[in-house]
Amino acid sequence: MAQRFSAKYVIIGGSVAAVGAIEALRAEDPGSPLALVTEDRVSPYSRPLISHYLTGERDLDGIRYRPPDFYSRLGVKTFLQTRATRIHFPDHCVHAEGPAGEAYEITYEKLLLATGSRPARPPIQGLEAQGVFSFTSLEDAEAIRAFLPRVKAVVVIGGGLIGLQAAEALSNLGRQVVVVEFQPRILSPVLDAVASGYVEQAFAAHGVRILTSAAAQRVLVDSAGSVAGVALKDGQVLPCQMVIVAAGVTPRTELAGAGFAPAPAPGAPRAIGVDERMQVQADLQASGGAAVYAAGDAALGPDLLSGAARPLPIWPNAYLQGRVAGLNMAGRPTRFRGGLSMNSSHFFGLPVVSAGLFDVPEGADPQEWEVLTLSADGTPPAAARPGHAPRVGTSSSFAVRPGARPGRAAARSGAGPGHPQVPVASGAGPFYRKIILRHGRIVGLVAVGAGIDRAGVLVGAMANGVDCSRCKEDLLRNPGIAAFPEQVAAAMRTGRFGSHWWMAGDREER
Amino acid sequence: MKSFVLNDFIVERDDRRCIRCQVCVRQCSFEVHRYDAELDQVLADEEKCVGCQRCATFCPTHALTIRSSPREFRANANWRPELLMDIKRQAESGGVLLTGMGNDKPFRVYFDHLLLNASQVTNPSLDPLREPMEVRTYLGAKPARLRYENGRITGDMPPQIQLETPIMFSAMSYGAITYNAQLALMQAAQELGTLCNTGEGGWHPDFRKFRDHVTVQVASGRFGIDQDYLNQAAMVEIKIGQGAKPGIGGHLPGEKVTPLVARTRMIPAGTDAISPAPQHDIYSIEDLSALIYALKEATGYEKPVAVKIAAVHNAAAIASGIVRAGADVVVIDGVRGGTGAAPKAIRDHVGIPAELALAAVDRRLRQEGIRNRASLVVAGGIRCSADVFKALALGADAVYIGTAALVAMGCTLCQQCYTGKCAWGITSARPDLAKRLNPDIATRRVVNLVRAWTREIKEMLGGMGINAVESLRENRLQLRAVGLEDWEMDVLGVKGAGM
Amino acid sequence: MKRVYVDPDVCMGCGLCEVYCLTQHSRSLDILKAYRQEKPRPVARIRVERHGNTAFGFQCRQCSEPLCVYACVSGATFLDDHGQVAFDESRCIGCWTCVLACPYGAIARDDARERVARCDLCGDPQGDGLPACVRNCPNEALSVREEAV
Repeated sequence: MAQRFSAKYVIIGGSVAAVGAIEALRAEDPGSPLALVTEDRVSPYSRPLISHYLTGERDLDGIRYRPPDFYSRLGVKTFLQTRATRIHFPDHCVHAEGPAGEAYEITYEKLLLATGSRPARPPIQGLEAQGVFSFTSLEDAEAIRAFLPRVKAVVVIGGGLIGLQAAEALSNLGRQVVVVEFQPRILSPVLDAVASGYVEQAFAAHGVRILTSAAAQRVLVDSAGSVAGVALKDGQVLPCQMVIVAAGVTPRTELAGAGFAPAPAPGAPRAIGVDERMQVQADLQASGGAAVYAAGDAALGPDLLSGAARPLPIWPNAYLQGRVAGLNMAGRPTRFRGGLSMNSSHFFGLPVVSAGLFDVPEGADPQEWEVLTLSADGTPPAAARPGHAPRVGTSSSFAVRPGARPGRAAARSGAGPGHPQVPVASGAGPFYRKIILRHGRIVGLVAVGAGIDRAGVLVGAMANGVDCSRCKEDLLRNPGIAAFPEQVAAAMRTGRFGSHWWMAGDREER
Repeated sequence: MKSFVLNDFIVERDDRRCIRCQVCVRQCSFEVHRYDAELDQVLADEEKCVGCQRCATFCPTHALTIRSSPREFRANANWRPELLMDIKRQAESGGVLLTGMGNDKPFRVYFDHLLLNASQVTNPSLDPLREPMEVRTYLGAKPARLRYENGRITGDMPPQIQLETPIMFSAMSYGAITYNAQLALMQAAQELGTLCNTGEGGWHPDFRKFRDHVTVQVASGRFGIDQDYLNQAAMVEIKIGQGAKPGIGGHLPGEKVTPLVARTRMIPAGTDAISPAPQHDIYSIEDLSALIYALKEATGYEKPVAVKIAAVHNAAAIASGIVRAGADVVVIDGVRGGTGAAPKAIRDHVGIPAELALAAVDRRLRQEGIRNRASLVVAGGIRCSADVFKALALGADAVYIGTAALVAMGCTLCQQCYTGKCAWGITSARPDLAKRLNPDIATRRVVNLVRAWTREIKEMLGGMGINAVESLRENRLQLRAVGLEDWEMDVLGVKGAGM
Repeated sequence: MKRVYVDPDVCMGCGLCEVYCLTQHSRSLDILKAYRQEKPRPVARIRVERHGNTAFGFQCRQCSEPLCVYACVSGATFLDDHGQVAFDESRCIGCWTCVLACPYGAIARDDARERVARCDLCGDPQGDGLPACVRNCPNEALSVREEAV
C-alpha cells in the first residue's frame, strides 16, 4: 500500500542542480510544500570532493555541500535513499521506493528532474569482477576505501577529470597507479596539448604512469574472482588489484521515458531536452510534461557561445540551470541564455583551467581567429608530447610544487610516504595562459599554474561578449577589468555589469 | 659630460622595517626608488631626490628617513655648498637656474623680531570664548568722512568687499597649480567668506560659480581676459609685479601647459607661457590710472580695482602714485613671496621684505593723508597667525597667503614646482600626479588652517584687550622689536622691547 | 547591498589598501610581523588595478547574482543572513572554480594555504565600522555604500 504525499514542487535528485532550484524557489516562495527524492544517503554533498573523502583528508561533514540543517531550514521534505521508479505524467505522480522497500506516490504541480548522470560502461570484458569501481559517488569512495587494504597497484581506465582525480588520490594513498587513456593525450575534451603535457608531467613526477593511445580490453581475474590485472589491446598486461572505470558519464534519463530524450546528435549522449526556461520541450507537454523541468547533468541545455544544445556536465552550469528552473517553477519567468564550458582542476598542486574553446577549430579562417599565448619564458612552449618536457624557462624541467593530499604540506618539502623526491624550482612553477579570439572577442582560454590567476576576467569577457580587440595584449599579460574599454570598466567597477550573462528576465537588485 | 653635482639628499631605509610594499616606488614622482626583484630590495637613486618627503610620509612602516646630504667640503663660510653646486650646474647646462616657491635665503625675517603686547592690569584682556571678537574687515577705498543718518551710512560709498577673516588666498595661476588645487582654494574661500585669486592663468569655466569669492588678475600676459572674466569676479587686480620675481613676468614652462591650461589661457598647448616683463601699455603712472579707470568703466564701477606690486626700494613712492591713480586696494608682495617658477638669481636677490615695505607704504600714505583711499594687502611669507597679526599691526588691512595654503594641502617646499613633477599633486598637471590632490580633502585642510589661524588671532586680540581687527590696524604701539637695529625700528615704526 | 566603491579620479594607485588589507587578515594584525614573520604571508583581498593613468583598488562586488556562490563546490562561499556574500575559509578546498567564475577577477588564490582569499568586508560595516582599506586610503578614494545593482 503506497504512502501518498503531495507537494507543490517535487525535485528528483539531491545534488547541485537540486540545491540551485531549492534556493531559487524558496527565495520566491517560502511556504509552499517542497519535496525532494534522492537516492543519496547523505544529502546534499559535493561530488567533486569524494577524492578528499577517499584519502581521508575530509570526513563526511567535510564534504557536505550545505549546512546540516539546510533542508529543514528551507522546509524541504526529504526522501533519502529513495529511488524514483517511474513517473506517471498525466497524473503528475512520482512513484518511488524507499530504503526498506516502502512505496511512495508523490504528486506534484511542478516537477524538476535533476537526476544527474551515471558512469558510462566501456566495452571491456570482466567489469563485473571484484575490485572494479567507478568514481562518481560517495558510495564509490566508501567502497574503494573498504577494498583498499589488499591493493598495491591500481589501473585507472580513462584519463579524463574523474580518472585523474582518482589516480591522484590513490597515488597519495601510496598505491602504484597506471592510467590507461584511449586518446593520444589525457584530458583531451578539456585541455589543449600544452596543458595536458604539464598535467602529464605532474603525474610522472609523482610516479604515476600514464599510457596514452592505449585501450583496455579485458579485466583479468584470479581464482577468487578478484581483479588481478588489465590486458590492453596491444598485448600489454598491467598487474593490479583494483580497477577504476572512469570512461565518461551518461545522463540519467530513464525516468523521463523515451519521449523526453531527443534524438541525440551523432556521438552525443542522450539527455533531457529543455527550452530556455528549463522546461522539458513543448512538443512533449501534451503527454503531461507541461509542469516538468530538468536541470544539471541530465538536461541538454543551450551553450552560451554557440547557442546550440550541448551537454555541459559542469558544477557551476548545473547550479545555474537549477536556479533558472527554480525561478520559473516559482512563477518568476527567467530565461537561461546558456552555459559555458568551464573547468578548474588541480593535480599534485598544479592548477589547470579552461573555458570555452581550447583550440582553434579545424579549417578556421585566420582572418577571424587569433591565438595569444604567454608562458614562463615569454615564448610559447613547444607543444607537449607525452613524456616530453616543455621548456619552462630557467627553472628545472617541470617545476611542479608537490602537494597532493594527504600531507600536502609535508609533500612540499619533498618528504612524505610514497612520494618520490620531486625537484622544486625556486617557487616559480609552470606558467601558461592562452586566449583564443574570434573577431576580437574571447572564445576560449587555457591556463596552467599562476596563469590561472584572475582567469575569471577572461571568462567574463567571453561570456559578456566584450570586444577585446584593443586590450587583448593587456588582458593576456595582466587580466583585470582596468584593461577593458573605459565604459565597460566603469560599469563593472560598480558591479552593475558582468555577472548576469547567463540569464535574462527580471533582475533582482540587492 | 659627467656631472660633478653631489646629491642634495640621502635616502636612509631601515631594512628591518621595509616590507617591500613599493609604495615609495610608486609615489616618488622623481623616480628615486626602484624595486629590484633579484635582490628583493628597494633601492634609491639618491641624486634624483629633491627632499619632498612624500615617500617618508606614505611609507606604512616609517622605514624611510630623507636627510640632507652633508656634502662636507672643507669648511668655508663664504663658499657655501649650495653656491658650489649651482656653479657646477651652470657649468654643465649653461642655462638660467630655475626654482620654485619663495626666497629661502637667510635674510632677516622681521616677523620673528616683533613681539606682541598683552593686557595686564590697567587694560584688562578680553575672553574670546565669552565675548565677540570682530575679525571681519572690508576691502575698498574708504571715504574721507563718514556721514550718518538714523544709524545708517549715507552718501556714496565706494565698492567694498566683506571678508569674514583678514586672510585671503594669494594669486596662483591655473597652470602653476592644478585644477584640483584651484578648486580647493575656491571652495575654501567660499566656505570661509574670503577671497581667492585666479592669478594670471585665466579663470576656468568650472570655477565661475565661485564668483563672489574670486579676484581676477590682469597681468602683463593678459591671459584669459574677456568681458565675462572681469564682470563675474568680485575684484579685479592689476598685477604690476610679484614678490618672488620683481621686474619680470610670470613663467609657466611648456611641460605644464596642458591642453586645458592652454585653452584657459588662450595660448597654444605645450609652449612656454612667459608673460612680458612690463605691462606694455603701462609706461607711466598716468597709464596705470588709465587702465584702472578703463577696468572700472568695463565693470560699471561696481567692484574694487586693486594693483599689486612687488616690494622694491621705492615701494612707498610707487604706492602713493598707485593710490592717486585711483586704485582701491594696493597689494605689496614681499621678497619671500612664492612662485611656480622663477630664475633663482632673481627670486633670491631681488626685492625687499614685505614687513619693511608694508610699514613704509602705510606710513607714507598716512603722511600724505591718503591712507583711506585704498586698502593695503600684504603678501610674501605669512607663515602663521602671529605673522598675520603683526602684519595688521604694521598697517595691513588684510593679508594674502599662498605658500601657507599649499603647505596645508601637502606642499613641503621642495622647490621643484617648475619641473611639473610635484609629488603632492599641487603643481603638476600630469594626470597621474594631479589626481593625488583630492580637492575635498585639500579644501578641508585649507579651511581648517584659516579657521585655526582666525581663532588664534581672536586669542591674541583678546589678550591685548581689543575686540576688533579694526582696532589692531596700524596699532604699532602694540608691537615691540627685539634684536633690530635703530634704522629698522625706524622704518617699521616700532619701539624696542623695554622702551 | 553594502560594498566598497572606489573613485578612480582620486585613487593614485599607491597600493596602501593592499598593505592594510593584508595586515588586517594576518594573525598578528601588525604590519611588520605580517610581512616579515608570518609564513606563509597573508594575502590581500583587494588589488590595485593599473592601466595607463587609471588606477583603482578593487575587490569583490557583492553581486546580486554571485557567480562565486553558485560555482563553489564546497559551499565555502555562501550568502549570509544579511544577504552579503560570505566565506568560510575552513571549508574551502582550493579548487579555484570561483577564481574562474568571477568576472571581476576579484578572488585571489592563497596558494600556500590551498584556499582562496576574497574580500570579507572586514571592520563591521554593517555596524559603524569601516573595512581596513577604506579606513587607510590616504586619498579617501574608497568608501562603503549601500546601493542596489
